[in-house]
Amino acid sequence: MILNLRSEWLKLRTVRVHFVLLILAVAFPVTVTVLVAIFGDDAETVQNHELAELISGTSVISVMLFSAVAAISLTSEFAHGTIRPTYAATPNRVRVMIAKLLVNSVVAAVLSLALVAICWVAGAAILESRDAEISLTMEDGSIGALGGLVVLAVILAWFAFGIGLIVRNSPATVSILLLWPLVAEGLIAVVFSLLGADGLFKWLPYQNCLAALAANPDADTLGRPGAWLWFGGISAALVVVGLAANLKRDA
Amino acid sequence: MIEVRGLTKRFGRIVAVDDLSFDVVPGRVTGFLGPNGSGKSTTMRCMLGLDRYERGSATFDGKQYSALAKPLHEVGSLLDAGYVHPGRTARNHLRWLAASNGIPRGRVEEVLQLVGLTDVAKRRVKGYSLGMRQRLGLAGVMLGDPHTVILDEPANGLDPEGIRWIRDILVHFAQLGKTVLVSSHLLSEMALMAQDLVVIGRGRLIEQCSVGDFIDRHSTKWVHVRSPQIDQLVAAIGSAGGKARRLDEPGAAANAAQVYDMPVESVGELAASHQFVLHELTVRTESLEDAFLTATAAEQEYRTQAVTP
Repeated sequence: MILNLRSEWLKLRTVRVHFVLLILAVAFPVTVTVLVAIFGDDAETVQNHELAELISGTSVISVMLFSAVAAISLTSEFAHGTIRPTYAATPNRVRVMIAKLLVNSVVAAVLSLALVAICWVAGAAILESRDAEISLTMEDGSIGALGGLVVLAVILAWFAFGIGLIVRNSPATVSILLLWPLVAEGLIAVVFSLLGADGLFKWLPYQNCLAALAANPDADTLGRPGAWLWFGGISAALVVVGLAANLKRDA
Repeated sequence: MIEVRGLTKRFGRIVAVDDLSFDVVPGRVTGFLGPNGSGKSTTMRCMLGLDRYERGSATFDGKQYSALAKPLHEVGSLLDAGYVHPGRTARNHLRWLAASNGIPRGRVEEVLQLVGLTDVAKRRVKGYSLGMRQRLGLAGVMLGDPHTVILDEPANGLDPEGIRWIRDILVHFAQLGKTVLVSSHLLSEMALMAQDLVVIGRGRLIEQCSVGDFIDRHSTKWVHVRSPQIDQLVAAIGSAGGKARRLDEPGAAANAAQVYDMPVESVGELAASHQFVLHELTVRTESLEDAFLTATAAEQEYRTQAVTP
């Protein structure tokens, strides 16, 4: 397994498009946080949880890009046919895919943690220079909001990987990744609303995880652990289905 | 040694490989021939566990490919030179392959040098010609110094020097006692490098034998003779029970004839007994290409029409 992890890590870091996407993903929230901290009004009144929500809110784009990298790193293997030498080098397909998933999960977790840290340190430093009092605490939900982003990054990597394993096509997988939160869950929410079943909103996995990025999630959601478990469970199920399909299909 | 037994692969209703069995022995280059669509590539993919097959088995020294812990040390394969990420450099392509089987990084440099790509190893593969990609694929085959080599059309896109290099290296592999299975449409090349043949058509085995036996069985032999008294010689051969045909089509050698059903010795003795001058007396045989076309005539998936001027 160590050999496969090393091999998959090499694959991930030796393709330029992965780097470009990951750098963009990290740069965007850092830039937004710095600009808001510099130019925002009433800086001295900004509280911890507001900075945390600013970071987690703008970083949703980043974790979506991390998931796109996870999807592309997998589906491009099918597009370019490199899956064949991959399986020829390691006939155990599950081991190959688990290694790839672990590498992408760790990259998503580490980078999201890094971007949260950079944003927080930069944002706090600028705001404190503008007379705000910023400190990271558990009590106001700041750490929960920022930590939720790291968890969401890993869940989305699994989600992307599961869809990628089933679809095996880069444009289709990335489209699903984008359309799922923006369109699919929105349409389902409209249907729930028309049916008067507003209580079902909390079962929309993506929206629930986004809601969990608030410092204090609404009471009518599943809550942070519930949202993570629900979306994480769905993503894990997609991965399992993808792995099973992958075992049966031709490479 | 490769043993394929009863291999059967379907794509929906189409039987791509049909109860195919053959052996590939060490120390010899075995050519894998068949018309387009005959199932050669599918067979190779099935042997490597890349395509799932319905029945049969393929073993390498008694072990299924999926049972090999570090396959690159035992079986090197090149199915398509295009199976490379265009955005990755040649060196990095080989590095991830090597890493997956615990092959040291130094070996990557060795094989790059062996295939002549050291100077361009830092370049991304999308800038490579097909010939360069073939060389890169062959570098991947050699990474683990395997005892078995499987190549699908390795000479595609190579220049004459590259083709000769492939031939030499495969013959060298066989001389080292390795098991070599190679498919190619370049039958003249196959005739030069292969000792054995596995010929398939529509997924079924047509024949497995040595190249010499295959040509003997499926080609025509004749005696080519040239003489300033060719008409008299043709008449004499006819009288002696042979069949001779004077060549008079455009481009044919002057004063020449083809003789069938008569050994070359008899033609020579007949000419001597009549005191005919001979300028040439040779035995000629159809090529491997002719033999292949004869053997697979009934198994062609896609037929072309003859070109008429």
